[in-house]
Amino acid sequence: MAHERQICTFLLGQQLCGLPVERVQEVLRPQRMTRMPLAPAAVRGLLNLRGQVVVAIDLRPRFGLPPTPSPTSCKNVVVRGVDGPASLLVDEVGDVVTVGDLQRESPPEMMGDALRGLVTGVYKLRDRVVVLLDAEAAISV
Amino acid sequence: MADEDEFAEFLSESRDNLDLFENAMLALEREPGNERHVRDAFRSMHSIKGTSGFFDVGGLTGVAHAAENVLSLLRDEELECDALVTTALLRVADSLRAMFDLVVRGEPPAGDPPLVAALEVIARGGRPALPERAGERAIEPEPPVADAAPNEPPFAHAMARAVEAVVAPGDGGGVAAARADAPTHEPRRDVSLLPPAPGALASPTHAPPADAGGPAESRSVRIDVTLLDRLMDLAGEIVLARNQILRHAASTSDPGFLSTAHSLNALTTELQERVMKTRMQPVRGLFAKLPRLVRDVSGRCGKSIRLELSGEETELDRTILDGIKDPLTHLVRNAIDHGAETPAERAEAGKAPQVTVAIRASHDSGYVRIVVSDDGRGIDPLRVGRKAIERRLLSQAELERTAPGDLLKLIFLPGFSTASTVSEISGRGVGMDVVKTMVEQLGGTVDLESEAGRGTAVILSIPLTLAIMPALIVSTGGDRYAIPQTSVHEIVRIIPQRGDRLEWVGDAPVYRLRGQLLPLVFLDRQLELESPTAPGAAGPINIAVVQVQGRRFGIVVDRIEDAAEIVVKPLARQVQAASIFGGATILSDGTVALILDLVDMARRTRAGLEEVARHAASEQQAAGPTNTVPTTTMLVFAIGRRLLATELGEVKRIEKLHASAIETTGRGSVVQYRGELMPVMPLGDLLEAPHDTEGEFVHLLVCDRGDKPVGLLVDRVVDVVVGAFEVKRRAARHGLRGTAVVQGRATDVVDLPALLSRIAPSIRPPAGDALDGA
Repeated sequence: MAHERQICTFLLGQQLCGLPVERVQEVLRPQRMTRMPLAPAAVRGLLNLRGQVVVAIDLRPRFGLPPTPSPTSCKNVVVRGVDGPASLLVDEVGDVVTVGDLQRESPPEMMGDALRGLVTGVYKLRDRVVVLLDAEAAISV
Repeated sequence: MADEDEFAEFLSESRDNLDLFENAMLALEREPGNERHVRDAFRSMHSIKGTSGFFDVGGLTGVAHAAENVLSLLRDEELECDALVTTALLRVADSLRAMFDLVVRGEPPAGDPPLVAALEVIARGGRPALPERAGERAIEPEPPVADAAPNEPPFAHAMARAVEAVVAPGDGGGVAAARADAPTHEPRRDVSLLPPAPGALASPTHAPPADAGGPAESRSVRIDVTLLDRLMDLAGEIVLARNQILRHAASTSDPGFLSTAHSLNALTTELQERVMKTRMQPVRGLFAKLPRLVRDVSGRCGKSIRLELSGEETELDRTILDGIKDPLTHLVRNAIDHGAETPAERAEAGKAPQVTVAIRASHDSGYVRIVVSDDGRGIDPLRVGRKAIERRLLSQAELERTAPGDLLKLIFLPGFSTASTVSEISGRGVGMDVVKTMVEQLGGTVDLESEAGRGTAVILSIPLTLAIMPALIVSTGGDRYAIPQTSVHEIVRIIPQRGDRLEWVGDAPVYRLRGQLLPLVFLDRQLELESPTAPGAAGPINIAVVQVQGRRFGIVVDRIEDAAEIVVKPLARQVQAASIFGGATILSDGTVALILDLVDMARRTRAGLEEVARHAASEQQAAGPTNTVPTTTMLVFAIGRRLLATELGEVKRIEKLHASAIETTGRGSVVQYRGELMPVMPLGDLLEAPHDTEGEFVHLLVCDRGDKPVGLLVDRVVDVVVGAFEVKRRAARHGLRGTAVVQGRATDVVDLPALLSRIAPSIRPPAGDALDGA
């Protein structure tokens, strides 16, 4: 029997990415943010999630894209991390899709170092391809 | 039983220290020459050695002592830390860890003579072959470990620590320590906090109630402390929301809304207090360990000590209790080892043979004061000065200019120790500077008073809780930051048009504050923000003058925004490496602000600050005797149309506030000040000077009366003037020292201490002081 899983999808530039739906806590509209000086470049700010201080992480450079010009106009995908939640800044939030093992391909061989460990698989949908990310790797900097 | 408890604690603490030691060595290997790691490693090993000395654990102390010797050479840069030294020291960790395992099994460890011998050779500058480690043939320097635990900032660390608690619902009262090795499912009525490791335990305080049998079972429930932390966070957020509602209520006349707002106010305050209570524990558990410590240390030094404990019921947040355990232990050891004389010495000085070491805890306006005092030999400021010169912390010329009171403060400098012999008990150089750093990391302060021949008192002032603290909110580069209020001394605004300006010493900016050079740190540059303030820009410059670890410096910011009670939140793992921040908080408008860790900031900027200090010294030297004219700093203020002055030193703080902030109660006027109600006295009423009642803002001169602050209301603060003022006495008038010419105008100089003593003692804040978010 094919193993099925649900993926919450989102866009980074034109790249369709996904996270296991059980690792996505919630999706937020653009948030007010506070800059975090002296932090790693991927950390674009801190936001107030109902009284909790959460870091906002920009994954675009990992995919070879320029950093997002305006973190406060991105949507936020809040990921349940082992050490607490963290938010990914994304350009657009897509559907939750159900995929099976038959659709799964291994990550391409020539994938850059930045993506190794981050991308755990590639799934073929009807019209496009979604890159499944490892939640913990996505929110590590 | 108590001994077993202590022994278990010693083991768990030593293992923690061993981990810290190992991490510090590994960090040092990654960042060779970083003196912080050397100090961390030294401190951990020193603690292991120190505590192991109290227990009969065979060869353990010997190994720790040999390792400490090597570390001490590294610290003094007399030895370079290369791969061999690192490996040898890491081998010490292995060896000690194995010994602790033996100790747990009840076998006394024999020690590790080959390793001790190798360390001794290293200490003499030799290159020994390291003894083989069990199960390993060749000795290879261990590769750096990439994923060693990062140093967590203290707030985050304290907040993130998960322990478990037993909470009795409906019993909102006291919190007692419970023994962790007691059967954990045994029901208890006390609200108890259990430490995480089975070995680490708080001492028993109250025994559980005698009837803690069947019926109590239904009254207790175990709660994870992370949940308590979350409740604490939420309570803090509710306080902020309540404050917003109260602000709104001030501008509405809807009676229904007003009464709802008031009951919300009362309920929120109580909720916050209750939630905070769940984390509070009396200091009794901490104090309970001291008699044994005193007995052991005094026995070893051949001194006779009487220990006096008081205020054991004083409660503190348990994370803070954890944090002050080490400083307190250090202080007590110091008092006995350095402060106390031998019976023979005391007989010679005509004192009773027994030294009294007193430890007193008490509440003091939102803080807990812990005083460790002894009636021993006291500290001779001149000896401190000589030692500072030996240690090259001070030049001869500087020594001559330093007031005796300030000489004592040199004890807090890193690397300072007055003990002329290295002792097993309080050692060499870890001590007061570490105590100070640890206390400051908790948001507290350390003070020292001593009189040669009479004794010494060290005063710790510690916030009740880490979770909420008063802060100064500043902004730079468009973002707001919080500075812990306890470290803020004053706020200075430089207006270039008035001839004030910044100066430069090398590339370090300074400001001449009342004749003294104040090193400055530009916050935007420190944080590497994109648009740093142009140096010497034409606009006014705002400086928050802070003091940490005895270093005073000014933080230049774009704007001073506000004072606020903030709820401290830990920083996420991803950003903990940015140690300049001690945490984050959420401001009343919902935005996140970062909290500056001043201890770290001072460390980062130390080079610049020291250069300024040297320059200031040489400048004063060049100025020579002309500088010896006694100058006073006068605060000039107005009441109505009358100009008055007082010596600035007599005023603790100046607060500007909206006239409506002063509330009138049946027993006089009060104002909310740092979470408490402070009595307010119109100064004009005492001086028969009519107040101007029109002004929108008033100023309070906050002074200490006894141990409570009191606010003296004046209409306007005019200026601060430095100069040599001749105060001419006029016909005796109460509360006035006389008249002086200040800035060309005859000004009455107020005698604040005399006035304060005249204020009736009945002016006290009403009962039930509330800790209130501002």
